[in-house]
Amino acid sequence: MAWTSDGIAARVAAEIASESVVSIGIGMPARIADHVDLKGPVMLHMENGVLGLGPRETANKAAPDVSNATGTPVAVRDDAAFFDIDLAVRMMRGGHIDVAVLGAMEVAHNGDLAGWRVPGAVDSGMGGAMDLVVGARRVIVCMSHTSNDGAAKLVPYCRLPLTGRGVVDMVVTGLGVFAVRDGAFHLTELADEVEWDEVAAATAGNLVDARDDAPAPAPAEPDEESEELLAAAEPDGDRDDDDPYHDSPAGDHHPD
Amino acid sequence: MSEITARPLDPVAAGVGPTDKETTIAAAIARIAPGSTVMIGGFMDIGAPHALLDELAGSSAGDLHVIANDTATPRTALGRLLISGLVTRLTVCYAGGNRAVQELARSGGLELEFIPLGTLVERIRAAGAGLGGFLTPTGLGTPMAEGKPTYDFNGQTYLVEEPLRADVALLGAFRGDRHGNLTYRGTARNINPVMATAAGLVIAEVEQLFDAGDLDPGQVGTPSVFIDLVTERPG
Repeated sequence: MAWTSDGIAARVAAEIASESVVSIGIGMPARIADHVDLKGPVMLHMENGVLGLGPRETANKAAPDVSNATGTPVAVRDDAAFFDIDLAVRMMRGGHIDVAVLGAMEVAHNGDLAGWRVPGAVDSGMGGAMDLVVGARRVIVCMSHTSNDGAAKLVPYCRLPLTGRGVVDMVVTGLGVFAVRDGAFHLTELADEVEWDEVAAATAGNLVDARDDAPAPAPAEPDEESEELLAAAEPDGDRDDDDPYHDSPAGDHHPD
Repeated sequence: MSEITARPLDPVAAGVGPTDKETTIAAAIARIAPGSTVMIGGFMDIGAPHALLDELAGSSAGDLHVIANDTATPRTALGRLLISGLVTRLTVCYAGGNRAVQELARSGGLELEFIPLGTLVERIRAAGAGLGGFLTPTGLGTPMAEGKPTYDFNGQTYLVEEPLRADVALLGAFRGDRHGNLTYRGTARNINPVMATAAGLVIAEVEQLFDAGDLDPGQVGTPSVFIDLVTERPG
């Protein structure tokens, strides 16, 4: 079975367990706070002005005016700090964040990231994502492997407006974990009970089997099914609103 | 030689320095003219000036250009203002969570402009700090760079960004005094302090209003010099 949103968040939480300062975006990445030890080494940062973020809380249990970037009440570490957005952004853009974890609508196999707008359909805005991708040492994307309509989100190139160019280092989806390098998605780990063929069928960008027990290095040549997904990725200039290639307005970038 | 007393000078009693800035919600909003550019503090409704926003939404000040961090949700005071018909232009970094605003923008009822969070805050900061602009790497290689000048500096390319100023700023704070000093609580600080520096008329709504001298100077997040009017949230 593929990982759920919480399963993806738990997998990313394990990935960042030895890092020190990790900034998380809204949507699926916000769930990571529910899987990080409040007394552990990781300090979670959010762009609304908190360092030392903890899990979501019920409103009557949380301290007044202590929220995450979606306005949800949260717990914080004993050694947390609150500050204004000016300082929050200096941490992000100024190189003080070790890892940024963001949601996305599309990631290309060269590391391009798109996640703030679907012309004519979604106008979410980028929030602090454009600042995070220029300032964080490492960028991890967590998202569903395909759109709500089943179209590929791991693509040869982004057709949606970019958040950043060549910025993504790793993608964690419901199907597995992928290192993004050398113009391909390198599968390093499959989700529970997921097969390689399922990943290959749902991925339009170049895909390499980089698991420790992988047979021979698989060529980055797309098979026939991937060719169909690639064809769907061709920019057509004017797109209609029910283009299955794109997320519905209820995509990853809306708050819980 | 005159005697030195330990008591600090009371500027109001002495008739010098800051004067009483306390006003009412209605009187504060009556100062906003139609066609104004209005900065609004808060982050997804946390730290927003709720009473001022409700009053503004019921006022006759139309054709407003609102500058805010986000659109909050349709259930909030900001969400209600944005679809009241009084706002014709909106500048934010995030509109997710408020489908009504997105739909209004797509139907042509609202001009919606996105600016990345860091660039939005720094443009406001530059205006309040007397700077002519700044250089940032944020947005390079994205649609944010289209039509913008770039500048190469130390081997790196940057976008050139301009200051962003408003006619009015509406802010939310935890405590205030009658001279306009403000304190904040938790994550409700957010974009309020920077907006306090960059508008012609700065109005703060506080949860609790105190006499001058009753706030700990070390806890003041926005000093009185930036505030023109302060009003206590009713209820």
